[in-house]
Amino acid sequence: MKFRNQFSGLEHRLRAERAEPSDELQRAVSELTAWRPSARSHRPIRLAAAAALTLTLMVTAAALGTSSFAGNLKGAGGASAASQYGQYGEKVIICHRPGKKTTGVTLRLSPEGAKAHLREHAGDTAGPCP
Amino acid sequence: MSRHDPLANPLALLPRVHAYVAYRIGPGADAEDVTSETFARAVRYRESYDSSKGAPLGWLIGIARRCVDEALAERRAPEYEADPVEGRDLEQRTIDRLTLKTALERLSPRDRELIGLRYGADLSAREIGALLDIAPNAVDVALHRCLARLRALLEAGNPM
Repeated sequence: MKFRNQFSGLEHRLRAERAEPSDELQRAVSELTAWRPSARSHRPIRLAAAAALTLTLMVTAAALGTSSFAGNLKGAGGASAASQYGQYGEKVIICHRPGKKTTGVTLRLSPEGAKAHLREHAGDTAGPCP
Repeated sequence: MSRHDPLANPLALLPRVHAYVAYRIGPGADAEDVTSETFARAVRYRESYDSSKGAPLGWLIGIARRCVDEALAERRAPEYEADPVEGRDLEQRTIDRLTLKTALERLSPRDRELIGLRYGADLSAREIGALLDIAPNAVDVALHRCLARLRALLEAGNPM
């Protein structure tokens, strides 16, 4: 287009001076996107698995004497983290804090993914971000 | 991995998403947080991605647009940061030596959106038109006018 030539220098500058993501952000995004559900899972299987998991955890909760899950505990810990699983079926909600800002991002992960986040990131907490 | 996974190569998409967000709300920690939120939502909704409707970048930018709008609504319109040079009046400060960043801040939100989509996310006129629901030719015209306004701002600050 003819009019594009008028601004080629400005266009080049807009591309050359655009902001680049920090290393920290790249790591956070890499971790965020690393988890995904199994490619073999289908809706009926997920529902059955969710029902089985929920039933198992209800029995566990009764045995532990707890009546509520996510939101009560901070940080990771063997039995404490395990009691968080299953309130939302096969997904577990955590607050993932990738860097400077304190509010973080609310993630819904598999129980295994949530456990890994809580274990590997001291700033992550169970339950949604405030 | 499925070839239809929009997040099969997230680090290749991250710079474009981040650049788009930064052009809309300014570079820095806020842009990084909104970018992070964009990918967090993309993870939640990745199974809903339909490759027949467009490339993953366009899908991600659609999510980013909503995240940016929410962030702007929360913090209200950003104020211009006047150059804190003593002994000059406000008008002189605002036109004196404008940088690209300062000039971008003086553009309308619509112009910043266009700049972000075209030069941050590197979307084509057709892809931008699909996001904004306007014809590709209209995108070209709008961009032309936007660049003219941006250049005028830069030249006003650099009379040489």
